[in-house]
Formats: sequence, C-alpha cells, structure tokens
Amino acid sequence: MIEPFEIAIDEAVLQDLRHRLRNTRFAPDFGNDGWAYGTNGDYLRALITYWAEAYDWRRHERAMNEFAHFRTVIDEVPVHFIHERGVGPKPMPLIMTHGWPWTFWDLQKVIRPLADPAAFGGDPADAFDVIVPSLPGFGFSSPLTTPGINFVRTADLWMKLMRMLGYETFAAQGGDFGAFVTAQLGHKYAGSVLGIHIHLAGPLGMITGGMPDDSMFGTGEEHWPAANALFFDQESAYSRLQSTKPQSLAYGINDSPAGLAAWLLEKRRRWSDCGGDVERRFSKDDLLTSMTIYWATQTFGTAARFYAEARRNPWTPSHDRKPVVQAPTAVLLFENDIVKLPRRWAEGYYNLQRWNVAPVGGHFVPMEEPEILVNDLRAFYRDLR
Amino acid sequence: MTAAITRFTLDISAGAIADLHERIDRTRWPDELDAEPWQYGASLAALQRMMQYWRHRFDWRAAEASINALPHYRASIAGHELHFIHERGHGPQPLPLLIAHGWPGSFVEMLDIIPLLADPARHGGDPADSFDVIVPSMPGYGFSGRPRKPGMTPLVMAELYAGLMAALGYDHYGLQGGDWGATVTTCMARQWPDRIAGLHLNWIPGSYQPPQGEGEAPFSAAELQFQAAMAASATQGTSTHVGIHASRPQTLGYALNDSPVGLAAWLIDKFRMIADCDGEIESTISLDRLLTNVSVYWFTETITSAIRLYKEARLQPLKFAKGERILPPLGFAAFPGEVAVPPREWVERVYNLQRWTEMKRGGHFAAMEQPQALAADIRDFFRPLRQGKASGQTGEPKHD
Repeated sequence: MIEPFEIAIDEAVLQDLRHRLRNTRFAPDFGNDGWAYGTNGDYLRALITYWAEAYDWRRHERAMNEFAHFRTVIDEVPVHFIHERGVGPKPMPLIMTHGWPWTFWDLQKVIRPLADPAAFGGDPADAFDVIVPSLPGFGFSSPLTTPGINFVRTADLWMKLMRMLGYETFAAQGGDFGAFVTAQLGHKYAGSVLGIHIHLAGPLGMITGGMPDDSMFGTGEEHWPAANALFFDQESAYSRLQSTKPQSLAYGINDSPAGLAAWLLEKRRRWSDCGGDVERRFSKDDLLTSMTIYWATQTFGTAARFYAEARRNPWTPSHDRKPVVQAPTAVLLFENDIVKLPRRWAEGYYNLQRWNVAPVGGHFVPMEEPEILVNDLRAFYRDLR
Repeated sequence: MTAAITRFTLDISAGAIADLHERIDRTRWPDELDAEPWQYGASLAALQRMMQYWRHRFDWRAAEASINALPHYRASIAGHELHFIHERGHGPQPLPLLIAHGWPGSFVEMLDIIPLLADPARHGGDPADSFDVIVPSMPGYGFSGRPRKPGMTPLVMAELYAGLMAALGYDHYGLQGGDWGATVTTCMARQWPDRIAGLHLNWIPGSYQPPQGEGEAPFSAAELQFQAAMAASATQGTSTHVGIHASRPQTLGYALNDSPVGLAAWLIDKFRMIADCDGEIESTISLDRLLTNVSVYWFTETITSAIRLYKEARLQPLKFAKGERILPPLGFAAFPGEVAVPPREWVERVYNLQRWTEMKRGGHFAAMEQPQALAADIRDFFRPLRQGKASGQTGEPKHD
C-alpha cells in the first residue's frame, strides 16, 4: 500500500536539537586552518551557532512538502519517495537515486525541470515522471530494521516500487551509491530499464575490490589515477570505518548534532568543487537542511551501515552476458569529482552510448551543477523514447 | 635542566560530573540490528548497560581517591605540561623505570602494576627488584597539557620523556611500553642508548620497518606472513580506527567530545576487540576500571588531541637505515591475545633482543589484564641489568 506522506518533524525534536547545539562541548582544534586534520573548529562553531539561532527548519520543510511525497513498505523495508508527475505529451518514468552522505533533497533542483521542462524553457516532449526515493535507512525511509540491505537489494526494491507505480519500463539515474543502485538495475533488469544515466561509473564489485587497471586511462584522463589514489589514501578512511564498524561511530553521531555536522560537512567540502570554501557550493541552509534530515530521522547509523552491508554481502552477477550492464548507458563525469574511472574501461563494462566530462563540478552533481545534469539527461533519453 | 615540578591532585569539579550525568540521561540511542551484536561495532544492549552503570553505580570520587593515593605531579618540560605519577621504590637500590602508555588507554592502565613494581616485598617479591616507577601521561592525553600546534610526534614525546627523567635527576633508567608507549620508548632507546638500562615491550610498534635489501637477511616465511597479515588488518575492522585517526581525527573528535556514549562506544569497542577476553571485556578488565579510563578522556576533553597522534606519527614511521640497531637490551613479553605478535627474527633485525617470553594469557592491555605476570616478566628482565652503571637518582630528590 502506498500512502501520501507529509514531512512534519515534531517540535520537541527541534527543541531538543537546539538545546544540544547550545550545549555543544566543542573538541579543541588547533593548527587546522586548511582542514588537514578534518573539520575546522572555527567554521564548525559558526555553523552550529547558525543552526541553533538562525536556521529555520520549517521554511525548508514547507519547500519539501510542495512536492508529492509517499511512503510504502516493500519486503519489510520502509520506502519514502517523491513522485512528481511529468507535464508533457508522454512523460518517461525516471527513478533517481541519491548517495551518501546525501539525502533525497539533494535532487531538489532537478525534479521540476525534469518533470515540467516547458516551465523551465525546455521542450514538453522531454518531460519525465520523476521518482526520487530515499535510500533504505536514509531520511524518511526509516527505521530500517532489516539486515543485509545494500545497493544490490535496493535495486530489487526499486524494481518492485516501479511495478507498484505501474511502470513496466523506466529510466534510471544516480550518483555515488545511487550510481551503483542504478547500474545494478541496468545489469539485472536490463529488460525493464530503458537506459541508465550515472555520474560515477565503476564496476559493481568495486566496493569489495577490483578497480580498472591504470593502463586503461586515456587521453585527457592521464591525471585521474593519481587523483583517485590520493582520494583513497587521504579521504577514504570514513569508508573503511563505515564498512566495518558503523555502529561504534553511530553512538556519538546520533547523540551529538555537532558531531554529525562535522562528519557530513567535511565530505561536502572535500568532495565538492568548492576550492576549500564549502559555501561556494552549498549555503549554510543547504548544509543544515541535509543535516537536520539525518538528525531528526536518526538515520546516520543505518545510512553508514549501507557501506557495511555492501562489504558483508558482496555483489555477484545475475548473469554472465557482456557487457555486464546491458542497459544503454550514459556516463556524465565531472572533472573535480573524487573518483573517475576511464572511458575505455567503461566501454567494456557498460553498454556505453554517451560519455561526457564536464570541466567543472564535483561529487554532489544535482546540487552543484543541476543544469548540466538536466540537459544531459534530456539529451540522452530523447533518443530512447 | 631545571623544571618546575609541582604536586598534583585530581579534583574534577562537581559541575563537570553533573554535566556528564545530564548528558548520559539525554542519550539518544541509535537503532541496532540486534541479530548480531558487536558485528557492526559496539553492541547496543551492552553499551546501554554500561552507560546505566556509569550514570548510577560508577563512583568517580572513589576512583579519583584511589588514583590520588599514588603521588601525582606536573612538570613543565620544554614548554609542555607533563602529568606523571612518581612512585618511589621500596628496596635497597630501586631502578628507575618509566612506563609509557598508549591509546585507548592512559595512565589508568598502570594503576595495578605500579605498586607491584615499586614495592615488590609487599606483593610476595624481592625488595631487590624494586623500581622507582614513573608513569607520564602522553602530551595531549589525560592530565598532560594538550599540544597547541601540530608536530607532537612520538619522537618529540620521547624528547619530553627524556627531559622529564633528567629533571627528576635520573641519568640511567629502564623503559617499559605497549601500544604508542612502545613507539615512544623505542625512540628513547634509539636516541639515548647510554641512558637506557633496558627496554621492555609488550608490543612492537606498528610503524616499525627494519632495513631490507643488500646486507640484510632475506625475510623468513613467518616474516612475510606477518607483513601480509598486518596489511590485511588495515581493512578488516580490527584497525580501521587507525585510518580515520591518521587522516581526519578532528572530524571524528567533535562527536566523541560532545557525547559520553559516543566516547564510551569508541573506546570500549576497541578494548573489547584487542583484549584477550573472548568477547567478554569485563572478564578481564572491570567495568569500573574501563569507565575510569573513559572518564579521564571525558573530563580532560582529550579524545581529539589523543587521536591526532596517529596523524602526527604517520609522518615519522620507525624506519631504520641499513645496519642501524637499537643498542639497549630488549625484553619482549609476547601476549597470546595481542593483535599481532611479530616473529622473533623480525624484532631481532633492529632490536637487541635478550629475552622473549611467551605469556600464558593476556592481550593488548597487558598491565590491566595481567599485571602480576607482566610485573614478574619486567622484574626478571631487569634483574641482570641492575648491575654495571651506577644508576638512579643522585643527591637530593628534585621534588618533595
């Protein structure tokens, strides 16, 4: 059963949040102007003060509720999603999957332009029925009490969700973990998937080991292996931790909004194309709305566990056909994203139809570069309608 | 070298204790899949029980009183405040012995072993085996001051510890260490071999890299296996804390400094993982002692400065040049539950290994888990090393 859903965080939760923020015991920081040790203390203090004293959750909650939200339960897993009907002659259904540490709200800027292109200077023939679920254990797809839910199982849930919504065939899009969900749809359910559009193109077994060889990187990609290696060396400890001991981390972060903010903020700054100034890509309100969703739904722990479930339940192929991902595939990479794999490798793994590399933009594509994403999606799917 | 050394007494304010209790009362517990406790990290049920105990049964004032029963001091060494315990030996000629703790421990690890070493006669031993015991808190840990700028590496700590011993008037002394304490004491033995009567370790530093290649013996099968196991452990959960500590410690620190349950989960999960306890940490270390250690981190707000050490240390691994050796004699106590005990030949490549004891029980926290057995091994190791150089403190004590 699918039920309409409205976001309405309890006032007591917001009051408790403010109390905690005002009583934060800040870890002393020093010698960390460049954030080399992690989240900078001065910036965090300013953000926490703003969160406690100036930030208005209700304003953002109203903006969220201007979209059509629903909740359902599939295989005992609670699933929240936005379902925005397309305005056009024949909207194509498109399921868009976010990643970590995102929420569904990272898609806020692209939903309407995709659903109603005419209202944004586009062609109504490009309209999509847009479905934006929250990943299991993220945001309002909670509480997650079922073990083993990783990106593989999520693809199965999405398949069932689209069937419940009456869609026999559909398009799929995603980044970060959402790209793995999307690629798995294109692998296992290629017959139902008109095409996939991803901004992280890796092997489905990437999390449990197995990266393309450095020799695969071609012209214009020469500097990517070093950048990838730097990311894995400097920035990936969070991933190893969340893959093994997410619960040990979750106690502190579920109990301390400043701790939650520090953990998420560092990624927003490091992974976006912001040149070290996170507010070039995200306003304080953008950051805090995302953090408030994690806080109010108490989902940091289950979201972090998504890594552990990927590691504990390694991906296995559903068939041995080649390419592995048979659905027509568009890859849209962003030059300043954190991990980029080579085109030559992707050509062998995916049914690659389209490949573009945007010269600007980082990891949080739908928030950072919504227009580039929207235009590329429209162009790719235009030929598949 | 002169240094102001003052007596120090732990006296946590009533306000800090009340604040701790209020925060524990307000704990927001995360969900857990209770099918497999401890598999994704600290178990919810176990942690809830421990927090209940911390809030309602654990008596910080009693813990504080027993800690204060030992003589504490603070000294300013090269501009850094060092807290230390200095328990004088009872015997004809006590040998000074500096015991260096690591993470996630503190000086609290050493509370049981100090009397055994300082006053063996009272504990069924020989007074000739007595030590003057010095237990400093690492800079950034417990009641030692927090560093104010980056660069507090194990080598800098070694310099401060050597400075402390000099300030106490000791020019020839023994060293004992585990975890980071093994790294710091190894640095001391390497830098000042003439001052060190002997080095007793229950852990070989993780960053220890003996020289290899021409002129050095090829690695044995056991050594190759050990290196592979160490590399694998970095991704297996036993040491994933190292990755985050060594890259973005500050990011983690905010939650742990703001949330008692967050701090307790982080530390106690680690204790459970690397103690020799078959998953039952309280079978080997009492909950009171665990919580005393957690409380020290909490009240001093040092979790972040403590874990930043991993990042500082990463820039300065214990790498040895061809032919380089650490001269003072080494005694190694190999505890069966230790994370990774290297093959003997791996240790002998650099260290002057004189004694290797296969211990019967115990893991990473030897001084807490097996104080009697560790004390016995320390006594046995140093007994023949007490001869030779006129040792110990000369003249008047340097503090009251």
